[in-house]
Amino acid sequence: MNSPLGRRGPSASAVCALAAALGAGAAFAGDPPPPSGPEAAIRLLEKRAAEDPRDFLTRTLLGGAHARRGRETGDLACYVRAEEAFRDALRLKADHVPASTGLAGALASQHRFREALEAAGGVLAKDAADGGALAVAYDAAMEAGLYPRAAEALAALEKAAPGAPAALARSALWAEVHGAMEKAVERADAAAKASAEAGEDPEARAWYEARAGDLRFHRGDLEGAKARFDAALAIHPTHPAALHGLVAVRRARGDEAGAREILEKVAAAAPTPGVLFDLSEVLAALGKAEEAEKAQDRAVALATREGPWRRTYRREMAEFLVDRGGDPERALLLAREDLEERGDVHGHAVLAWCLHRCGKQDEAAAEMDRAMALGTHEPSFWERAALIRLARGEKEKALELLERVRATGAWFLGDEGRRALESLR
Amino acid sequence: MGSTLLRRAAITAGLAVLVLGAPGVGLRAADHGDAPAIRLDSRKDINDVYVFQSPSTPANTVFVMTVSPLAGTLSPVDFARKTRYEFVVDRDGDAVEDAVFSFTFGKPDALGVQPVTLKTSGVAKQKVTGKTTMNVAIPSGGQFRCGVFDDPFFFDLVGFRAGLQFSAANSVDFFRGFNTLAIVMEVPIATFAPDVNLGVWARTKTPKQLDRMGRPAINTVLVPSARKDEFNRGQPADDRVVFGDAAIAILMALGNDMPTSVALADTLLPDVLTVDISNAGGFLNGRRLTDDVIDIELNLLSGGAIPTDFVDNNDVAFLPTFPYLAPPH
Repeated sequence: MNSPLGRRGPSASAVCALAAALGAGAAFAGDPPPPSGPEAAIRLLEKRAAEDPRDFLTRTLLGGAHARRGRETGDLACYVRAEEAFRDALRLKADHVPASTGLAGALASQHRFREALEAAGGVLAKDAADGGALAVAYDAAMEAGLYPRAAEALAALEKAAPGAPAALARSALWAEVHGAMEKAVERADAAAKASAEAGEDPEARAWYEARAGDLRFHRGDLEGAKARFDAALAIHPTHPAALHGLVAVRRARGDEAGAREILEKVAAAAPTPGVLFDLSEVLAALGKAEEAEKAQDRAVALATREGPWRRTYRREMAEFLVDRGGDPERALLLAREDLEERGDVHGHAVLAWCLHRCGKQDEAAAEMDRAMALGTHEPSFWERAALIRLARGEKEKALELLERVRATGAWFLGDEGRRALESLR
Repeated sequence: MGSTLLRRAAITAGLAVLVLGAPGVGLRAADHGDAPAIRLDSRKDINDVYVFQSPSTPANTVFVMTVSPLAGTLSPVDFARKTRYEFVVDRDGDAVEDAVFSFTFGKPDALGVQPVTLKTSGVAKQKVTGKTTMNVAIPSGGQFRCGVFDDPFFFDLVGFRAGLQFSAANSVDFFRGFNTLAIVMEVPIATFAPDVNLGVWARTKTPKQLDRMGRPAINTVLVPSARKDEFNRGQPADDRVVFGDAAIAILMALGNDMPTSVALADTLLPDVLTVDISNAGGFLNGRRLTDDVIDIELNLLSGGAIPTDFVDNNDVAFLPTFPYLAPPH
């Protein structure tokens, strides 16, 4: 049984050895490593899963490969396939923790945050220090607005993986949501540094750099933000978050044509509703009304597809309908629906704005107070809060908030905010 | 203004899959993904360690360390930087390091090739530089090669994880078609003269020790889940004292009586791969690529009740000469 030749038999083994030796001549002549990537991984894993109907491990790996593809393309269908693969694995072995953790992640990526929390909770009930489950639990709790639960998950994650980029990045998000921008930037920078030092894969390193850029952008540091987005793109030239960040910088500088150039590239590679709505905005600003409408129609078509798309992009649709789409009542319905699943500070802010546009100023103010209760550093919150206050006749408070936006970066002010600031001064 | 919210939402949602994108999806096998902290970066996760007499040059001893399970499928195909990959050698049987062969890697070029440096201590001190994917000569004798190879490990991992459900009809090598990163080094037996009875383990450090491994599956099988990180960060010389009782308890839970469990724990701890480098024999004398360590350990740990996983050899043949491992798929 322990014979090196085993069941294969001597002659077959000899043939294999010869073939391997011949193959080695080519493969070992200083060739680079074999190509890797999610597409190739998915093909290999699908083949293996078909070969072995018992194989819950390969099905778990297949789920992971689909999730990675989703991360790189923004294509929600990848997360649906990831969920299917993880569920297949769990049908074969119900207590397979990595499949449960993967399932939690796939659910979170489809914005099914409460289901994700439940799945992650199941894993943590067996192993309270499971890094993957803690990360998903934190992310899902943050998105659901369950901040005390997120705090618990973050503390456990920092203990389970001290100094890990994934833990530092989550700590940065926590600081940002609570208005501690210095700390947020410091943590995000530490995450990027740790990721680079550990030599993590380009997609991950670029993400951490883009995150450091995003925080700088929101602090009003356009130069610093651009440097980090550029650094991210030097690592991963098509990284969606970095490209999107660069779009924001260009638009802040009034370079709508430059923003259009990037957005069109991103839309060609990964046409998500968010990208297409932004492209539509930019095209409209450039006076390209017809093209803007086409991009907008594509965005709406994608965001309203049946299945996970409609749920995932509900907030984006509400944002679109409340202003440019001209249907604040429908926007309000969507914002309320969205908040039930995704009750984070941003959800409250969107609902507040929809209420404002529907003329419900008292409710809008109360909702905006909820959005700002944690002290989140978010200029768009302040501008919207100012306009809501103004609608209620609270000019002094409105002026204070608008000045705060302007001091952070004049580009954060939309036309309405700018006009209001001028009239209040 | 809307785009600000949209961008924020997109980035935050991305967080959810960032950690999961990292590999290590529960492949607890020989030593694959054996601890939570290690699973965050699979390249620092030691899969397997082999030490054997070279079949083509019997005057040489071969050391192999594999890391990054499923390299190129879900794990990276480059070695981690700022990380030391080390073969540690005990020459006098006290499970304390006497010699170290330490490999470090630089930034990959456009083709993914990395600079590699070997530093030795406790034997003729040298510093050797080269590149991955190439055979690099060691001035004092021997050579090394680092890169992507076929994963030499063979095991019905699915059957094992399903509760030891092995059968001739169903069992297959889970690692078939998968690649791994490996460091393959061969040095003359004379490097350790006059010693021929060595204890070997591999470890990864950043500089904190992250993982270590001697014999296959020791941490995976004999150490309780909650203590696997502690084991990985520990030293072999402490193994019997620190982990002996836990190992005995697990061996008894596997159906062994107390005396057998104590004897097995004393045999398998410390987690050092003992080898007589003048002897061509295999596991438990070192470990050859072809050794069916799973069958041997299943027999040993189950008292013969589970004799085999029905996977007897690797999916592709090993090479008769350096670097011995098969090329990547």
